[in-house]
Amino acid sequence: MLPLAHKIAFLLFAVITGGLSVGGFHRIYRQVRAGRADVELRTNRIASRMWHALWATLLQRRTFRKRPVVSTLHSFIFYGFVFYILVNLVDFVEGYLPISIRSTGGLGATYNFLADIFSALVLVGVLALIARRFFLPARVDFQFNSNTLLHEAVARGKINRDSLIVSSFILFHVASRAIGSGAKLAVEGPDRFQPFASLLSHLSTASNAEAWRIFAFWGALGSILAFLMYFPYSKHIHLLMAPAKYLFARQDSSGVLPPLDLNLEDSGSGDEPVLGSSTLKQLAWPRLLDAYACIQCNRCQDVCPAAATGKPLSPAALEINKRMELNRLAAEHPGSERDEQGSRPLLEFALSPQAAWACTTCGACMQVCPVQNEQMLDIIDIRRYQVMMTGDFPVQLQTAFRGMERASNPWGISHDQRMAWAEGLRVPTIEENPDAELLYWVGCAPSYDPQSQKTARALVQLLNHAGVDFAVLGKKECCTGDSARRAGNEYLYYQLATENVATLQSVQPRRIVTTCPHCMNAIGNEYRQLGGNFKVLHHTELLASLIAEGKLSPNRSDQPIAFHDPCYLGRHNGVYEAPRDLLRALTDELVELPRNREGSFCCGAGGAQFWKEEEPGPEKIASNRLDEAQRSLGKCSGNKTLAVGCPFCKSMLSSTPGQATMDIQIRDVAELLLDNILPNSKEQCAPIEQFSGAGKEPQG
Amino acid sequence: MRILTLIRQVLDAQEGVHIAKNAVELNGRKLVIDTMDEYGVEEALRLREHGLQAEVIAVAIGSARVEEALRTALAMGADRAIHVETDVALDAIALSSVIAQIAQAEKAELIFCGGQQSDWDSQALGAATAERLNWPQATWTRALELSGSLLSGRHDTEDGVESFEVQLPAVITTQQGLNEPRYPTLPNIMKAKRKQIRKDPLDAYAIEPKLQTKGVAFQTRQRLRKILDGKDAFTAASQLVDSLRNEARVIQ
Amino acid sequence: MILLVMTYSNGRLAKASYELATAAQHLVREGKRTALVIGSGIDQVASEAACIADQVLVVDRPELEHYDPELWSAAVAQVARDRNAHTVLIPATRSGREYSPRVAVRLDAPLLEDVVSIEDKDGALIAERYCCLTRVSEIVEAKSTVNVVTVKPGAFAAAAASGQPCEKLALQVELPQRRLKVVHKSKEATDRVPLTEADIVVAGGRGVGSPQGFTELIGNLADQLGAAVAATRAVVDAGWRPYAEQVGQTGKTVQPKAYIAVGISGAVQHLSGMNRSAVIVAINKDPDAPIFKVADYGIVGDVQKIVPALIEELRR
Repeated sequence: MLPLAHKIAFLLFAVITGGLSVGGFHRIYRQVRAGRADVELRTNRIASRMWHALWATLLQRRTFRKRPVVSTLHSFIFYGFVFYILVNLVDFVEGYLPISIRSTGGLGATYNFLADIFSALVLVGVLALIARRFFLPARVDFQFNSNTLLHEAVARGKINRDSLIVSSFILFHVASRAIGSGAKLAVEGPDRFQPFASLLSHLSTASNAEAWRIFAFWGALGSILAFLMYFPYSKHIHLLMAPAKYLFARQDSSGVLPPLDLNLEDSGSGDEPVLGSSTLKQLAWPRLLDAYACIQCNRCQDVCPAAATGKPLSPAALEINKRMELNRLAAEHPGSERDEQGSRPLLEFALSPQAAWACTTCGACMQVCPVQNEQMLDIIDIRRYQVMMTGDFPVQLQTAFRGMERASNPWGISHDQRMAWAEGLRVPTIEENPDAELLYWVGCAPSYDPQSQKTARALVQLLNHAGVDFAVLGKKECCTGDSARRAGNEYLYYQLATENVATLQSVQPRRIVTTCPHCMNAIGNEYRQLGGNFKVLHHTELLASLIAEGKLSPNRSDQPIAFHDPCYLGRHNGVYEAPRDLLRALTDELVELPRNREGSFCCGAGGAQFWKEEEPGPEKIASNRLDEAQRSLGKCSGNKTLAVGCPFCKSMLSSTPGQATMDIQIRDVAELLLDNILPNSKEQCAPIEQFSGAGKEPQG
Repeated sequence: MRILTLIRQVLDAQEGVHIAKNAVELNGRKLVIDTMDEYGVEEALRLREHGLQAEVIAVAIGSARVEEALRTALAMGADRAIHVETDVALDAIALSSVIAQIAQAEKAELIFCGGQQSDWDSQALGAATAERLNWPQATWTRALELSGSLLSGRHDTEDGVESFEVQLPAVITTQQGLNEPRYPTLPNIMKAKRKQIRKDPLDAYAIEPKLQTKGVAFQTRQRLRKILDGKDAFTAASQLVDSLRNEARVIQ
Repeated sequence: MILLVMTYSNGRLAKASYELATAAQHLVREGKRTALVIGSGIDQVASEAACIADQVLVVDRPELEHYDPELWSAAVAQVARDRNAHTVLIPATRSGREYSPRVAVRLDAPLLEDVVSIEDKDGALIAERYCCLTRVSEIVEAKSTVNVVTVKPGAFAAAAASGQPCEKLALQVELPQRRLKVVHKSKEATDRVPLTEADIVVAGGRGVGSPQGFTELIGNLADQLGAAVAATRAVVDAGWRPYAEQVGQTGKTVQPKAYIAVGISGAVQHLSGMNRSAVIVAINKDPDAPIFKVADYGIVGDVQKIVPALIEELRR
């Protein structure tokens, strides 16, 4: 128990520091609140949210997605701190009341043991992480590409300084408490339930134990109070913000973008709505929370395909820059959270325009983030503003936009040619077969791109062979608008999507299958926002089930096949096993690429990248992936195939400069299955009179 | 200052062409503002953004549907539009009379016109309008600047590129590469709905068309797909050159 | 009288002028075939013109040393009016198409533009021309007292020069001031024709093999044909050629008379930039390459052997 003078002094100290800290926390609250209201629900079903947030926090699930060793060390610190809530409380009580927890009863012994072990573990964890950040080779994890835009505060070394301060605090806090425990045992005698403290008890003697214990009280509990004032300026606040992010998490998958109210009713009021975001305050409030939750671990940067190939984009830098800017605004313009005083456009401090346009919307950053940040959505918001408000965006995307507007496909090829891919095959349209059990949504790429047409042709031949009752929309089919939406052109997407929703609602398909994961995602998940609820399968899922039902019977070979998980099939929609089931029916040698399933590496086409030149960088995203495939398949013998499930993946991987020299074939799963089941179908090329629209007469 | 930008609405360049009632079928087809004319609108807007005090007026002569193309020009940033509504197909020489009358009434000083549009394959409208107004012309312009009343720029000629200077008033015809037409932002699209499009009947303008179109037919140009086996390179090469020279007549 | 406005370069009549003479032969209506030569120091040209017309009118003035649309149209219109021409034929060259509308307005005449055929019928002049980016041909008819026609180069065969040159007559005309001042004339940085204006384009894809291959095969073939050089995105990505030569979705769109695609597979992004070419020729070793489906002529074979063979053949 503390002497009276200390009791009073400490209470005063607590009141003062507490009072001084409140301002800092309240500032953060005000800054986050100053963000826009979110269109998506964040506080509904609050009890369920709290339950999930609690377990996500306690089980540290997201942290363990990557970097297992570091995550383990962190968990020492985390669980230590969780237990320390109790420990600090007990220490406080022991300081004010004549109570002492001894290891005599079971409860006391357990408590003391855990406190002791966790103290040691926390110290080990912090020391190890300091070593990792400052001394070990792995510290390169914290570097950014030289072309990444960094906030001035970052350049001044704020991140490392913060780390040092936080680590010092933790060490001091835990070490003082441990010394205090040791001092207690110097008086009480060693305790086999407290091995660490027993070790430390040698530092003090029975005579100075009391002094050490008082020091420990002030050191441990006082440092927390003092640290409270620094907390709002430190990334350490993630211990409140991360659970908050879990609590207010988005309910939709990363494949579904937040809807946008386009304000199309011509109010004529002259008050222009702001579409998308150009400044911090125009971001929805959960994305300002992101900035404070970010722990600056750079895991998102590790998995970002743009960052990995040397582009200026770093989702980590984006969040870090946002936080630094929020702190700067708080320091230079206190009290001005609600207005735009002193605010700069995001494209000036958060990320460069090149970075914003390098994103492939693969969602890896959001998938891997331990605190569930939404970096990709910031980029979408910025793109929306650039495209719809300023018209300032890569010029090549205009061609894709015009194509979608005028010809209902991003290539701009005449809509008349939409069914040209099916020439020579039995492909009933919905007019010919209105009650079809299955609607095959072809998609623009399989309709127009000669390489992807092979996939569509393979699928319909397989469907016919298996006796499936299906139909296509034919010329009623228009681009789903996925590329427009990813590029930020929400208006164009809205126009295309509402038309498609109307078409589909008039057709009322029972099930839809598609050969393009982007279409699948748009129709199956995003059209819901516009009132269209449709059940959509990917063709790999359908084919896998046909094989399981025995309607298609391939023979297994031993030729090595690797599967490249498309982002929009895998990560955004969770379909990993169906294509593998299908491929296992085709070969005994299914090879897994090192980066597979949710860890798959993007082909580089998403985020409307397919329609523009890739942002400049030392490496092409598709080359990076293809090299990985080459390394995995290179050791195998036989006909090597990299199987894909998406027309864009196929196109990107087939057209990288190095591909011609490799001996890996790039084929869609449907093509492989067709070759296996109907080897004599002359599937190589169909007589497709695609471009003789320049002069070709229509039928009749 | 007033700038006129002439707008033609054409079939989207990638659309297949259909023929009905001895004319190119436009009903139910996707019609868009011709890209050549977009360059004109864009250039007028750029001149204004570089400090020129100007009103940009989009002008089109054609059927009711042409209004969509005018709205596109307005959405890009043109201030107002004039639509001479008629279903009569007029040739360039006749049209130039209408344009000249409008230009005079509006006291325009600069007219932008597409070098050639993708429907009538005519290059005459700009030049004919210039003659009616007794203005100079610069065609196939690829760069332009205005300083006071002096236009300077570069344009393509028979055998190369010329740098030119000409005093306003003048007619400028555009070509690919002059600029990149801006993509209309959503607020501008909304604003365009409220901008004025003045409708004039054709008889408000005295014209006398002297050219009639009597009929159209497909210039059947299906791809021939005459593919040779190149195992014997020299034989194949010689056959190919012969075809190109004498059959296709694309080389001397 | 039928006025044939001559076009020439480097002191020689251009082929298009000979073609005008043939076009005039298709007309039934009465009138002397009268050639008009405008320029400065053009006596030799006039003498050449005298071999393809019934008479030659010459306007030789120092102000006319360099072409200008207003000067040319003023001269042609005056001559046509003073000499009662009922039909004015002008070659549909870039310049011809630029000043002929001014002539038509001055003469209050219709303009039959870029025609490929012409005939008289019941007092009307009937011609065929292309429209809709040459996909459609239309028949136009004009019944005026005076008609101005521009004739598409290459649509008519060149007339034979007669051994008996006709008379030449010098004329005076009033010329307006030159208002379009030419400050500087430049030929393009490349010796080759600019890509978007070339009549023939030779394009290479990855199948060409290497940057050196590009220079040797594509470059030499282009030079042999007086063509422009183009490249696919894959080639530009690989750094073999500059972006300015890229044809396709994210590059240039071209519409030449002939597009020769060497080692190009025919990905849809590339096709959308050149599929309006009048004639497409494809050379590729893969018989299944999509490019062959949109080609008029093609050779399936080794690019490294076929292109040199073509160059050789063209040299002959």
